[in-house]
Amino acid sequence: MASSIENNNEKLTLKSSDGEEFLVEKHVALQSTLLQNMLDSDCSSADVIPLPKIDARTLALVLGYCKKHADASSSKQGELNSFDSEFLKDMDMGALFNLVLAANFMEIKGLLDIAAQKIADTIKDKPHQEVREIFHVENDYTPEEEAAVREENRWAFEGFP
Amino acid sequence: MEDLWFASNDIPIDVLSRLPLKTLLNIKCVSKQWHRLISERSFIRQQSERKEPISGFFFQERFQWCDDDIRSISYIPVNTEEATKVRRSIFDFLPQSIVLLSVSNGLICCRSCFPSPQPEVYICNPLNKEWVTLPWPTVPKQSSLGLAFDPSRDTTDESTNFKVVAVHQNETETEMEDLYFSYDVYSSKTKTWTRSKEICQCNHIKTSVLTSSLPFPAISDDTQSPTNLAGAPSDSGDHRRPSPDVLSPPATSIVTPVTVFIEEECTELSICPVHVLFALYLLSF
Repeated sequence: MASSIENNNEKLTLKSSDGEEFLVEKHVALQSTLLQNMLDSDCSSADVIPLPKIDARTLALVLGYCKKHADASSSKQGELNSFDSEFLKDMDMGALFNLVLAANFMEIKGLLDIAAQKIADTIKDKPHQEVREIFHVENDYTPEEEAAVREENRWAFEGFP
Repeated sequence: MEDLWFASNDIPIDVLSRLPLKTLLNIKCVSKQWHRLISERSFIRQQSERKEPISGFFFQERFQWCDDDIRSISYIPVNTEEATKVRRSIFDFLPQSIVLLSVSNGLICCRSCFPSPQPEVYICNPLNKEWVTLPWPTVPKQSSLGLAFDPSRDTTDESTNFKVVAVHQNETETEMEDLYFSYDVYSSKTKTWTRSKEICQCNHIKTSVLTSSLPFPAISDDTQSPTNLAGAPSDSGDHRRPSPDVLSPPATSIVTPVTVFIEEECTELSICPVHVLFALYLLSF
């Protein structure tokens, strides 16, 4: 704990895929295992760290999450939980997908967990046609094949939409 | 978005493995790629860490005073919002009519209905209609059989390992009144039945009543003992109960016959309600 307070004023620069630069305090960046590993190895904090897979909008969200969690690391868990649910509340699917990809790339486990869970919750009670639309998945079944797959396990969970 | 989404399998696995089984079965219909993903062993293992609610109950009746088995098995799902439909054809994919013996983490252990010229034991997963056949062990037909399958103990993905324990009651040769239980254990790794060196001495009182419903919890409630699913050598030590070698099905898998009297016909039937939590485990080796 002491070392992170000590290094509070150290900053590093992250660059999004669309070229925007973000100045981030080091203790905030440490929420990401990827950045932590980079800092632990001899990557100088003066360098700009490019994040070619993450656009500015997503990166801003990710850093907002990291800041809240870094600053609140010793405070109440309840406050963080309500922040987390508020954070994802009105997010559309596209933004959620980007967030999952970014959290996966930057190795931010907490964020990956809540964003992946949010997507899972969204599709949980949807019929498969709707899931297909949400994920933009092309249906490569013939109607007969699809009916056969559907029939396979019908008995186990009768009454599912 | 799909390209990005499926660029690495980690992310769809991470999201989809959080879904309950009934949703997964439903979204197998989304596409062939999703179907494949949901059918992969690595995915199944990750998904199985999720706690599933009970899917339903199996019911099978049994005559108390007649050796012939009753063939019909009913399945009653529990999660439905509509009127519940009882299904009687769940096990039609097996080559013979069967008697349910035990359930463990989604796998079901059953045997041929008696009388049968060549009785067999089946371990099956009715969700994907897979089964493996085991020879009937060299034990009397009224022996109890229990399935032990604990996927969380097995860290390898290649196969689904399980054990079957057959318990039967013996009389000691020296003292007529002394009874003991002996155990035959089948391992899916060695594909053979082995007689366990351990026996369970028991008070002769009431043991004959217990034969058909030998309490497996008695050999399983010691959570400290190595349950040896992976086939690792067990340290038998000084246990009184035959727990180390004989494997323990979790408490949820116990078949508990309940005896009821049906007055009109004056026939005593025992009914085995078995609740089951289905899982996606594959039996193909």
